[in-house]
Amino acid sequence: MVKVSLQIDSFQEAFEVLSKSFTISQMINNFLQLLKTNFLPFDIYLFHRTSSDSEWTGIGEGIEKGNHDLSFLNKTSRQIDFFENNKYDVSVVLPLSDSSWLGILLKQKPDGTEFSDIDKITLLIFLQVFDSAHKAFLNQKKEKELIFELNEKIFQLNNLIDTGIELSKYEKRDVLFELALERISSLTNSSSALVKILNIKNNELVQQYTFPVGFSPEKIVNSPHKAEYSFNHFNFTYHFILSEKETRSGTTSFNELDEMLLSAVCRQVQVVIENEYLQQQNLEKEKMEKELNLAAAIQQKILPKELPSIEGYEIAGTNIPSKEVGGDYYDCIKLGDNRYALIIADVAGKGISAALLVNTLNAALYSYLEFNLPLTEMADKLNKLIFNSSPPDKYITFFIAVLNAKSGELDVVNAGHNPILLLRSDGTLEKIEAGGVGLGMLDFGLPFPGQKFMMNKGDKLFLYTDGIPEAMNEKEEDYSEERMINFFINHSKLPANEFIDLLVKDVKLFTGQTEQSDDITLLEILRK
Amino acid sequence: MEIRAEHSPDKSNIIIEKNKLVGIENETFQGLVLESIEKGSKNLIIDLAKVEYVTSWGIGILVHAYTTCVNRNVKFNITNVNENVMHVLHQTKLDTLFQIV
Amino acid sequence: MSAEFNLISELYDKVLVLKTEGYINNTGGEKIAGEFSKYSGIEKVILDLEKSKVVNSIGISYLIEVIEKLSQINGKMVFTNLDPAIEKTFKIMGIFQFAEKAGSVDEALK
Repeated sequence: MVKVSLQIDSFQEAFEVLSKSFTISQMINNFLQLLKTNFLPFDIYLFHRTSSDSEWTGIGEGIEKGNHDLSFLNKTSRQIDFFENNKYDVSVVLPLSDSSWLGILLKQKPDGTEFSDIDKITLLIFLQVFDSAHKAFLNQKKEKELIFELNEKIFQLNNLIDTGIELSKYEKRDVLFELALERISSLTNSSSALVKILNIKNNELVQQYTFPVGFSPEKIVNSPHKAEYSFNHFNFTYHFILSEKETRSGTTSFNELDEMLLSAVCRQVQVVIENEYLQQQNLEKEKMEKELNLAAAIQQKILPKELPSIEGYEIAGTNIPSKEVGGDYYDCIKLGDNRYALIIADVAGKGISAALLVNTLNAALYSYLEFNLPLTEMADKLNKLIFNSSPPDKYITFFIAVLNAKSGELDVVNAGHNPILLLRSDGTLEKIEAGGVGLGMLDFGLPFPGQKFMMNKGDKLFLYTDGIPEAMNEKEEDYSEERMINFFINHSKLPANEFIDLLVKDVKLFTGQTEQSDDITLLEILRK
Repeated sequence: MEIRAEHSPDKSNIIIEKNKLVGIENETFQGLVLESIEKGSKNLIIDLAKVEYVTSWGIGILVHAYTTCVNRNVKFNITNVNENVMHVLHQTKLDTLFQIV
Repeated sequence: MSAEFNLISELYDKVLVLKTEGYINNTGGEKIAGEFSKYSGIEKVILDLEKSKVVNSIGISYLIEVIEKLSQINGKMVFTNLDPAIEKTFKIMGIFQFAEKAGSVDEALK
């Protein structure tokens, strides 16, 4: 009885030890030790096979399959045999719950005792313990695997969310693609990954990144197991490739979940790229607006705040800037000695470059006028200056008339500008055409011929730029030079400032809702 | 291509297929001009048949091309100029400079 | 990180210090487990992942194997210089229930 109770303790212990083994082979080895301890008088030989079709493997040190008669284990179901006067005393064949088999051969040692009834029972119980422990072990293994799988899913989910956050971090934008590839490889157990950035139009490769860095892109493209995803943005195609999904035993193809994870991460990348693009656009827009504001400020500074009052004359002028600050300029500069310079100019182009060029003109003009140079010489100097201070395709159309207020003499130079209108008191209209090309156009020493006119009582001089004749309405029709001339003639009796106002109104009426594309600049002087 | 060049042994044609010559075409245009000169052409003809409208900047780029040609001893001609464009060339006095055929 | 996985191994009496470089995947994990199995009687394994920024679940399964083998003999695994992303991964996978982490190899050696 004592022996039995001792044995019961040892059964429980046996179960613990066996079920807590880390591997099957460890468990079977432990079982072997258990049997040896409990059946001291016997030699014990333990075998295991993974299925009914496979070969028996000997367990434990020093066991040589060849030395044993395995025909005793040739059974197709659970069997325990006790022999007398045979090679072995006991043979056990035990099928296990995972379709593997355990085989045991016991042989009484030369100095050992016989297999007793209690031994038989003990053996049977141990077999039972082993079977249960084996089941428990498998369950535990399954449980562990399940927990691992679950944790893996949680990890993937968390990784995915985390990835989205990481990718959109501003400080990570330089390594966007590297980071995306790292994350997606980790998420899907890829051996390697690649992203190619191609030009949409010609499919030329612009850039590519691999994970791990330095891995061959060709290997990835040519690998048998791949997952791919592409998207387009702006001028580029982004093509992601994952290669060789890993398992413990090698590589395999990607599954649906992997495709989902890939597309999720790629969409994250797409969002980041789009945001970056929009941000860039915004920045550029802001930059442009700043430029325009600056240009407008410059232009406003050089336009006259007030025109001088000239005895015996009426003078009025205005500049209505277009949305994109243009390069129109007008002025009436008192020269002393009862002389005045009336100027109108138009820079080719818009924006800050135009504004700066006008600024240069304005500054130079003031300086040259001080020196009382003949107009043609001044035009020549201005031409050189503008030519040298601007790109070859930029120029200024320029008209200057120096009025001797006492005599009414007009000294004029028209450099490539529109024909300036001189309306005589008797209704005849003279057009002062360009004598030379625009300032800054050419550097060949072409002359800017001057012209002389007389402004008599009742005569009117009307200076303007392109903005009026080229003003367009919704039907894309021009206001036209003709219409402007007619308006000028028909409203010539009006005081200068009223005429200016009315003409502007008429132009606005004509253009309607259409946005003003060019500066509207005009200057009128009439001799009373 | 909106602006293209056709080269023959004695001349180069630069054809502008745009409705409106704005000026933004400068880089391409000047590139073709230089290309024609480099090919040894002594005669450059700018074909404005399709051009209905030229902005002041557009005028600027023609002038630029003109200057380049004069500096390299190449004849600069403009052909198929319509009414609108002619008007501008006249106003800016460029009609006295450009060879208009 | 280079394209290939690298492992530097140093044995101090019963403490094995392994320093990894590169992607801890199937190959990497296998190398780590393989290196560990070369020795017997190890009481502590210090795994320095400073030069590894990416790990996948296959790699992790190898690490878990090493951790389990260590706990059989009452040994312990200490991870050092973990990338924050990897640390988070390990935490979620429950690895710190069976292994430890330290800021540096020196700290782990104490």
